[in-house]
Amino acid sequence: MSRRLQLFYFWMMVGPAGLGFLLFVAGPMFYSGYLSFTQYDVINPPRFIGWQNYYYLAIHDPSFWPSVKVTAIFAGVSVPLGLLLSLAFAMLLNARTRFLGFFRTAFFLPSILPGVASAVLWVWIFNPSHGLLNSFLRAAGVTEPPAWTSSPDWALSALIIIALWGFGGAMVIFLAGLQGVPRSLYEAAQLDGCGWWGQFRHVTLPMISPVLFFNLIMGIIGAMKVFDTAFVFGAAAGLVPGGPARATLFYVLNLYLKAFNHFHFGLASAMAWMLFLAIALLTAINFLLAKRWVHHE
Amino acid sequence: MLLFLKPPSKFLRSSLLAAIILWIALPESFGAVQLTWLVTLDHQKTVIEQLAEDFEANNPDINIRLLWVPANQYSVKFKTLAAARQTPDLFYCGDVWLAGQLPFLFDLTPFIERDREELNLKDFPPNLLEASRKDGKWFLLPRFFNVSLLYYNRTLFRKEEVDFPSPSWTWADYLEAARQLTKRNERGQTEWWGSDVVLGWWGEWLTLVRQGGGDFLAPDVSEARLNEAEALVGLQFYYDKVYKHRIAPAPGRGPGTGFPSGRFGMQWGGHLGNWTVYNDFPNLDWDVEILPSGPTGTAGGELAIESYGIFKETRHPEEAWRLLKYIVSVEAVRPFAERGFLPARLPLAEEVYGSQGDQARPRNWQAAYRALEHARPIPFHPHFLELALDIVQPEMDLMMSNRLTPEEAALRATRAANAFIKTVSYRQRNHSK
Repeated sequence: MSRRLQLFYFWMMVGPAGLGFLLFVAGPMFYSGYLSFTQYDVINPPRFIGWQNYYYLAIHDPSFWPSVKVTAIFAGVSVPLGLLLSLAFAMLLNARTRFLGFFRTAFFLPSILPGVASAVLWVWIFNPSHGLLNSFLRAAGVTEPPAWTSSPDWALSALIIIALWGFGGAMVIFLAGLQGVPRSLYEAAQLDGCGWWGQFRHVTLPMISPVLFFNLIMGIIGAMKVFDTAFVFGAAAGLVPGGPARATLFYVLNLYLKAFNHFHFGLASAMAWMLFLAIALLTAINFLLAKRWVHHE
Repeated sequence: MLLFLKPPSKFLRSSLLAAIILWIALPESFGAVQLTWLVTLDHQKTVIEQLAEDFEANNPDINIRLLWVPANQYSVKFKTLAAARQTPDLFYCGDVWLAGQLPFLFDLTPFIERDREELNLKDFPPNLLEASRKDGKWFLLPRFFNVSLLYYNRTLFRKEEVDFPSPSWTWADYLEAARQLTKRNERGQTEWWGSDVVLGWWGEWLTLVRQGGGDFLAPDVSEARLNEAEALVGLQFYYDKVYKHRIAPAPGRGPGTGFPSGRFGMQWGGHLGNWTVYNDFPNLDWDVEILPSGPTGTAGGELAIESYGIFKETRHPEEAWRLLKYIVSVEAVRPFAERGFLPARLPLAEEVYGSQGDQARPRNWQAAYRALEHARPIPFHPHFLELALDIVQPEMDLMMSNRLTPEEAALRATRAANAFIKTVSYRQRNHSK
């Protein structure tokens, strides 16, 4: 095949995907970068206003920093807890027991449920007056169980619990990682006198560290992009989106409200770019730190 | 299969092509005029469909295309359609939307002047008509309304032998009755609450602020004024219901179904759909009275109106006007009035509610028309919803969760609202002019 023909086929194969990327990903992305410096309400043409959107968000917007805080708390609590939970269950499901297939399916199942469906279900469970959870707590003797959906103190906890329920995705990846650890390493560790903890600390953890790193990065990115569960949680609980008192106002939900509820596309674009930079920075830091603890064979 | 084997003849191909071109190019006016009507889904879908059918039957030159949208997505849908240059010919435009939708609204003044007699404008209470005008021009025609009223549970009042609310009640009378109605069991748990508090939107706090003599925004909507002393009187009363007088539950502590649960003696309410919802609870024996007077003596509260307007650049203004006249007519509003909506035309209310006597729910339906004398529409600001729900409401939520005092909540809300009004909102409003 001549070089010209090779080039022709190359562009034939790459062209559609490249064009799609330029038109539907890179194009809108750079356009949103431009919009972030404008006043734009969809009806009227964009008007350049410099850094004012960024300034308003950082200094005056009453919802920007609360939404950063909500997202940071959510990521700070749900990611480590989710990793612990999914690793623990993956280790249990890596053991040779009866009905293993059933348990693996059962624990994985919640993670494939659509976020909208699980949020509606959980709002019913968390209903303060007649929800399943509080009925159970009252029966157990708790006289004033938490007002999960209507209290600013409890609403975020409720969303963290919902997020933990979907640990199945990370669990399956851990399971695959655990199954790749050679048994000979455990046997060698046992000969060296390692107990359960020693084997976990010196064999399992280093061997699955690339998988742990992958789940950590994906968990952080996922936590910073929470939207559907928070949106539906608010709507199904009869709250203002992000309520009560901005307790469930995640960053991306705030961005959505600014763009599509109030048509401040300039502000929303500025928020999108700030999020992009924050995720890129956090991922870069994680990659730098990974050199210290991720073990590659 | 034969079609694939044998290509169609030249004549057939030409005829097909001509038919397609004709179908695309024929002017709309050749057939019936098509009008799009944007309707919220919470409005009795079958009734609206029937209205559209009846109208089409009587106006064969007009074809109606109904566009349905969930109520909470209404503003988004409207703006998206406007941005796509597909603004509907006829659309719902309550008091909440008027300021934002004004640039899209057709000036109905010439039509109204022309058809004044046919419209029977004297049927409408004057302030409903006033709320349909801006700077002397007519933009809307109202169908229903509601107004802040004191809702009360007659069963609980009778049970505790408390006199029913009266038009002369003050905040003190309301508190006294609520104290008598609040009942706790031996474990200290509340069985019945004297009152509910309206949470999550401005329905109650804005009314109380105004009854206290203050307001949310300055008359020219140039700044927020929630931290002024008069406004704080209303916010303090709102907060004290829960944390001082303990006649109403804190958020999440009362029955989840609210007033219809039958465990609340009273409620400050004014939502457009309240009557329809409460009438769905056959065991709830409820009635209404005008609101107790606040320190400034103002008895009324928020005025909520459901009106309709025509798109400014509709290609068929005469036809759209014919449809608008029909949907605000007695004939078209009657089915809604029979389902618990409060018609803007007083004679229709008298016909529907008056004829039911003691069976009417509520019995004291005239209170709504009396309350109109003191009622005020929400501030005329295109970003009112964002200001009230996204900027101020979270501070009110924190206050009602006892995490902020009324002074702190008012100060934070005022600062945030003013920053928004003077930057984002100011720029956008000037840009849109």
